[in-house]
Amino acid sequence: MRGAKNLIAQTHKRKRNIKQKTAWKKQCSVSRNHIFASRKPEADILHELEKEKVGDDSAEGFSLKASAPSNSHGVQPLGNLYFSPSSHNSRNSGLGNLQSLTDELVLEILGLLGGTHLGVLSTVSKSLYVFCNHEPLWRNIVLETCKGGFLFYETWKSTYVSAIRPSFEILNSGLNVRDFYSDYLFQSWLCANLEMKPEWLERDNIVRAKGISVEEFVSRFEEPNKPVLLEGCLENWAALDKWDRNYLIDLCGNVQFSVGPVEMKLEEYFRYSDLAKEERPLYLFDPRFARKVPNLGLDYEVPVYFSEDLFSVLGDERPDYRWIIIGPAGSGSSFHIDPNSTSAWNAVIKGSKKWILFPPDVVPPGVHPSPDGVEVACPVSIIEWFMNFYNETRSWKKKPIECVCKAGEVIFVPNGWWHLVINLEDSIAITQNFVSRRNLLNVLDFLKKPNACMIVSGTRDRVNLYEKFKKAIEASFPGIVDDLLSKAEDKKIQKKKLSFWESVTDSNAGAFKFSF
Amino acid sequence: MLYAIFGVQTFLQRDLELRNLSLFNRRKGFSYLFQKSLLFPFSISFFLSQGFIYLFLLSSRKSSSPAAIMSSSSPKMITLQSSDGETFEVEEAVAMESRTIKHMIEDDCANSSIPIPNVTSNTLTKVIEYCKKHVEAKSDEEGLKSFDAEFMKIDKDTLYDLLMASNYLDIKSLLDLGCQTVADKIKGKNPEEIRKEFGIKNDFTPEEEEEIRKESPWVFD
Repeated sequence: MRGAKNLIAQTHKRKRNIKQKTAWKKQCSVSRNHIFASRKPEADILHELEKEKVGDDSAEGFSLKASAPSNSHGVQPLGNLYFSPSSHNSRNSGLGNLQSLTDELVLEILGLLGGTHLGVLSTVSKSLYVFCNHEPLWRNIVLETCKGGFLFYETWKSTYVSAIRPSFEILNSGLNVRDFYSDYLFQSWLCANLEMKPEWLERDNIVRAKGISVEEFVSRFEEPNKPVLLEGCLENWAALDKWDRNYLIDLCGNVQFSVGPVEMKLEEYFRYSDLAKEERPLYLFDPRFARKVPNLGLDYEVPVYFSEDLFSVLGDERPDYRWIIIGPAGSGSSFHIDPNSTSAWNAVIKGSKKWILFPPDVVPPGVHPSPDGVEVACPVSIIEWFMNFYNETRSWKKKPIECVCKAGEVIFVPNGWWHLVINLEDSIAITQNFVSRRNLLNVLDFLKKPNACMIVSGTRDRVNLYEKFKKAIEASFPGIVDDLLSKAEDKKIQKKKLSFWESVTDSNAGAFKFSF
Repeated sequence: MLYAIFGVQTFLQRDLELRNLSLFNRRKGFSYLFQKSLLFPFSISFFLSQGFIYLFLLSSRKSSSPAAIMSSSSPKMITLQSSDGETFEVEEAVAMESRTIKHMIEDDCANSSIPIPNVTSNTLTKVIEYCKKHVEAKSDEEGLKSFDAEFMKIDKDTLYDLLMASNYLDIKSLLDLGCQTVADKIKGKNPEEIRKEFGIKNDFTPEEEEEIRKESPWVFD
């Protein structure tokens, strides 16, 4: 009887979680190559903004970037509608019978239009003018039509117009539309123009180490899988002195680097990153930089702690393992776990980055991985995560590891850890993922998972990577796998013995229970 | 279950008494005991099997695909309830076209009827019609294309309701189809025609119109 009652209680709990989960999945999913996604329910944003209006002056609202345009065509959040005397929302009147659709659906429909049709639609009504000037729409159009060969002009729309009609003199009048209330569009503008709040940068609880030996690094950090910030190990890097914009532009010339979905020349990328004011700026993240410009690879060397690099046994067939990362303030990576269960190190050459790390078994707030680990749903932009979820961690007993990594410092990211990075200023960095003896077994387990074709990354040959790697490892380091396996077994037995002994001698463990 | 345990208890008691008796009858004691002890495990196993059947039924209720265990021939039916209280019985495969419902089924929340508060019965009928066709004729691409074209010949209100419903129920193909249909209504029209199509009033002043003309080179081509 009791069993049945528990079942019913369980079903109710699950139902609640499902509704929440589905609502969040809808709100936060980053699917279909769309840069924009659904946002928090309107009621929540209303409540938040109300709180800010009523709350104390010191924490009032958010500080906007100095370069923020003085208006976003005058879009206001939906809550303001209740303060307006007329309570007329030109969004609705200007959409006609499309007004029953949500903002996301309207933008979804507009996303299917080409540049010309979008331009024509923007002259139909004020509401459609605001919708059609939504920058992410134009960004998609530019990236699809021009690929990486565009010259950025202040806004994506201007960029597109100048690309197809070079003779047309663009004038960004930025018409101010009154009475337009929309949470979605307001949030989008806000996230694009927000400064990082100082309180988000306050916490710095990572362990720092300088000049430690490799053995100490392995025993204190790599073995127990803990992150650490290493100082002073880039002293012999030529890159630290040499790498600045002019040097890089001269060195790389017309070489195309991987920027999001397209490839761009470095000079054009810098032009974009200086002018762009976006929620999720394009990020230069190239895995083949050393092959494209060999001199770049010569200007740095792998710090001594990470010299063991077992994937190198695969030679040219190894998955992507090193990237050059260049991006403006506000760019970065939202929460993810590094691929193939590898560990990583990230060295900042110019600029600074804010890091937030969560251990493998703790899913960060606002992040929803699918059960098979293939997809991760999370807020669209990193600033949005900070706005909506960062404060949740304040009440936790075990806080995430946070730090600001400055030029000349290297952070070690252990395998399986969730991490988020945001550039606080224009930054240049190098990162590498690696497999050492300590995580070799994890990597082998990961690669031989049944859904390897979906979760393995950085290589075209996903399914066979396990076999290839196993063979190559046995060839170069015979017996290493068995050796590590037996050591792991020994450890497990040790642990079991300890815990039994502890429970027997510990009087708090409770009386020996008689059970069949 | 309690009844079964009680039965076992009393039987045990009786058996003990019988064993005591047999001590007096030593000569035929062994065979007597043997006879009685045969019955004992039989009864125990009978009651145990009752218990197992009970546990089996319990676990099959818990499991997420009782259809596989209980009935192998008829497909499982899911009940959906629209906002105006009408119920619809659909096959599980058809209901699973909606990712929202699919997640609910997988998480075992679909044993009674699923309420769909945002969708009226008219819209839900259309949605189910779409899903049914797409499940039945999955491999027939040409057939599906012509079905989709016919399916979208509906009035605007139904179209928008369908869009909202497919967004809520997370049916990607229907959502894409609906969005493309609306987009096609916009393409190729000039602003006045678009206003007519969607019932939009031009709320620009002449000065504002002049301003935005400077931003869009295509408008007055």
